[in-house]
Amino acid sequence: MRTRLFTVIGVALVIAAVVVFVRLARTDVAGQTPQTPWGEPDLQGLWSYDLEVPLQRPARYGNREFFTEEERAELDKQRAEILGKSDRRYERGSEQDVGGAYNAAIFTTHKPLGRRTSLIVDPPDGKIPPLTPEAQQKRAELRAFQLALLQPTDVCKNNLQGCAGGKYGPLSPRRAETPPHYLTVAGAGGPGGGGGAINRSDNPEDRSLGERCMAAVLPDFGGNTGFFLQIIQSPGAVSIFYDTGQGQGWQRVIPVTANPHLPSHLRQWWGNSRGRWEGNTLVVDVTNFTPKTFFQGSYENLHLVERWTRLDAATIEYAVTIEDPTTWTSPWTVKQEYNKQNDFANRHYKEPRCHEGNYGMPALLVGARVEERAFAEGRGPDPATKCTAGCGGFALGFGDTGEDSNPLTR
Amino acid sequence: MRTQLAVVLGGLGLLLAGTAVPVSAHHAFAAEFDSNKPVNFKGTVQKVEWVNPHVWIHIAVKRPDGTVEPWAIEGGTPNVLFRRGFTRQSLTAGTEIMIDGYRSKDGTRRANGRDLTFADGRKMFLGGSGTGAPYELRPGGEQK
Repeated sequence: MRTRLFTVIGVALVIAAVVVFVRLARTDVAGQTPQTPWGEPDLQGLWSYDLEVPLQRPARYGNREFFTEEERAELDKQRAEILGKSDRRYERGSEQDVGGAYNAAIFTTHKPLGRRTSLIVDPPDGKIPPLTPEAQQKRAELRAFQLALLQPTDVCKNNLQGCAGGKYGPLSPRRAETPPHYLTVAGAGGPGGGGGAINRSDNPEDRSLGERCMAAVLPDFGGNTGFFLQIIQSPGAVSIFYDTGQGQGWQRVIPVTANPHLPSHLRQWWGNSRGRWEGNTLVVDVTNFTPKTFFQGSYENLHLVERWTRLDAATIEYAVTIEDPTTWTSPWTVKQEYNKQNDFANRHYKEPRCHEGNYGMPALLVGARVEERAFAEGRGPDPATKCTAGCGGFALGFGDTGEDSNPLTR
Repeated sequence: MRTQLAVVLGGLGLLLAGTAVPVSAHHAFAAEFDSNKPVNFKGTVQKVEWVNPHVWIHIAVKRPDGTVEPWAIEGGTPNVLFRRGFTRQSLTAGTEIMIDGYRSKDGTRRANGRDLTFADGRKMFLGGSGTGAPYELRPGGEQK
């Protein structure tokens, strides 16, 4: 008995010694990057992106990379005043009012403005480079299909923004067609728009990736729900959990290896990552995305070069160069800083599991069938004339182009 | 009103143009809920189902004839609500709330809470910070 007790105490002492050693090994000596026990820069912990920066720079800032402190303070004050106002609603009984879901000011994250005028640091104007003719063509085909299905709805009848480029008309025979390209995200405007999401609910793939709990993309810049990263390292691998979207988080494992990428016929949703250390920076090359992956207009030819650098105990700088010669006329680069969070205070992790609670998808499919039956029995309007995607009505807490609009894009 | 709506949507288009990820709710609420079936009633919270992608607030609604109907109200996403300081303790069983929203198209007793208020009229969910904005994070530094 006594022998066992000594054994237990001995093992406990060894564990304690190892823990102390590990903690000492990770201590941040002034001016040095924290190291793992096996001698690599230590990126581990919970990290968050707690400042708001637009992806693309508003035109009025030209090539200026940073706000002045006065500009930030004034913009934050204006944003806070708008977001703090009572809820605003669209016209009661409109599809836009339903689309508002619930108070948009609380549904999305609203963080203090960062120093940068855009996440994009290259090209110098802070804008995504122009789309190639090939990408424009693909987008136009998708948009034409979206508009064909929207044309008999109030969105086109009232000439709302969702119908931009289209016009009100009768039911289109195209409603029975297979979409011209794989449908991905909602939204028709902007460089990343045109990914799909159509006014039809015949099956799950008519609906957006978000509705299918598949909205997580790489690269991920935080988005409208905010996010955190949890990084864990071991010799030969860096693992990152992305808490993103609405329970759409995912685990990413980056092998740190000199091995080549997977063969080009093997495609993965978040691509194939290969990491290497260049000094204190983890450089990750990502290829092999799928034809169904969608990032700002790019699909399977997306190529990322990420650079993860721990600047100090509290900060990681993340820079990613994004290229796809079939989508953009030149590469572009985004830069963000992540802040260390308290690992203990934030230890309660909520598993994403969007699929498990995704009652919305079956409900909207059943809802579409109920409407079809009602129409067939002469009890309701043709469901094709009602808007179920791209209807508008979600304004991120900001109002019209007047005093309640987002001061950044006003 | 219509002009104003068009202008709002125009603004939204601009927002979409400059945003990194799809700026949409997890799902299009107009697909799930019926604009022709508005609901507006008071209910007593039974429990909050704290699940991704949306929390569900289960309530009991007393009808004029005295019968009680169970309803489920779709709310925000847990991670954002957490960041706002909304926890399991924020809405306990027995609390009376007002629902102003739209019923599910599939005919079940489910609705989106387009506006949720406490029975005394206080708004739910509107967190605050020093600036008055519903920020979920304080600026800079390590979060406690």
